[in-house]
Amino acid sequence: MRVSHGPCDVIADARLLTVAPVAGIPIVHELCDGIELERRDAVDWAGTTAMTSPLCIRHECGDARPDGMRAVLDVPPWCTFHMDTRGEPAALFHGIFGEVDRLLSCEDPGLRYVVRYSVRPSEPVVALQSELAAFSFALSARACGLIAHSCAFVTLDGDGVLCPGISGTGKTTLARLLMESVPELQLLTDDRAIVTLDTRGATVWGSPWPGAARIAGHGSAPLGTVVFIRHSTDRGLRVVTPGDAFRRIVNTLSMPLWEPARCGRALEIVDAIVSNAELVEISYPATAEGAAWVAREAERSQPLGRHAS
Amino acid sequence: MRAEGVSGNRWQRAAGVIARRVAGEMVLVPVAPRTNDPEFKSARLYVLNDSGEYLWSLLDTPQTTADLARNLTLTFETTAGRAHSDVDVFLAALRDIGAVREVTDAGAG
Repeated sequence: MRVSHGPCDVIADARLLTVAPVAGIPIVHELCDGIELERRDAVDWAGTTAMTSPLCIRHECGDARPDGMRAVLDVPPWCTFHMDTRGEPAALFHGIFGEVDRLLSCEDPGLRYVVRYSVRPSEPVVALQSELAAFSFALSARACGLIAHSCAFVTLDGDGVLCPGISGTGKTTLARLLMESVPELQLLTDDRAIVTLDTRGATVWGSPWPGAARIAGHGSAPLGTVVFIRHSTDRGLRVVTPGDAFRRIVNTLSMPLWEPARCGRALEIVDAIVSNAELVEISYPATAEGAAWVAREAERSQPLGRHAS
Repeated sequence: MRAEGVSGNRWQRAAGVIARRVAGEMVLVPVAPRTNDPEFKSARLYVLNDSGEYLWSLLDTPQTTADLARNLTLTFETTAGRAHSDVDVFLAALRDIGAVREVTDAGAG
């Protein structure tokens, strides 16, 4: 039996697990067939203000084979992305580490997704992968933003700083050092930031999907600066051109590169980021003093006139 | 490598290629249907240089390699031989990523 619950149908006999809004989007997990989610790794996520329709993710047992779908991108060993016959993305998460195969697919673009488990999991399942992927699909479908593999913080002046980088770049190290050296700084995340774009410009948000430093700040701020960090024995700062920034940031963003209808919008968001934010590369010694210097330089690099009012 | 090196063949942008200006540069993303061949399971972006962007703009309508090379010499300081070579390489690259299609008389608009 289904009951109406605003834009999200809720199965009456399913258990619901609600995640506080992420970048304004509430997340509701519908747990069917006795499936339980493992919240062991959940952080203390306060969430943002709800600003839009929830993202519903139903978990059920069923056929987890991507029959009729087209494989478009391998991310070994974790998953393979597919496109369904409507051009909607799907993700087959491979059953490694004793998990079962799971297929995340779309029911209603931007609103409803389903995760089907090939067999009923004998233990609570970790929702991180499916939640992150479903959120990424929904952001793309709603044409409002991207997930960035990035450390992010808010300067004392209230501007957002994005420090993107692939694994090993030093995002978590920087976040830990900032926490130690500039405790008054508002850290948003050490691993996954959300960047949204609307008529006011780009906004950077924290997320409930942190890295090893476990930083999941629920704040947000207008994006002011993109900092490409480098560990070095010496301090150094250089301005990065928008073209260079594009090449360096694009691999850190959840770009829907195989979705014709949405790829163009994603590129527009990237263009807004690299065309309007200050873009710098900062080299620093990985010490508390070095991190404090990064925070100061990031604040000094904010776009002129942003605080004029 | 020559793109079917016959100057009489005509080429035009293929459907399923997203082109957007990002940071002042023209970026192409081929999103044409891929197969299960692992070689085609990766997503890539391509940034065009000035002459590449110029040629891409011309490919809005069917063009022969001779047309493209001639226009290239009129717009950029280059020799006819170099222009032909550049056009061949450019078209071959675009063809490899599915960004252009050969236009036959039956398929011409």
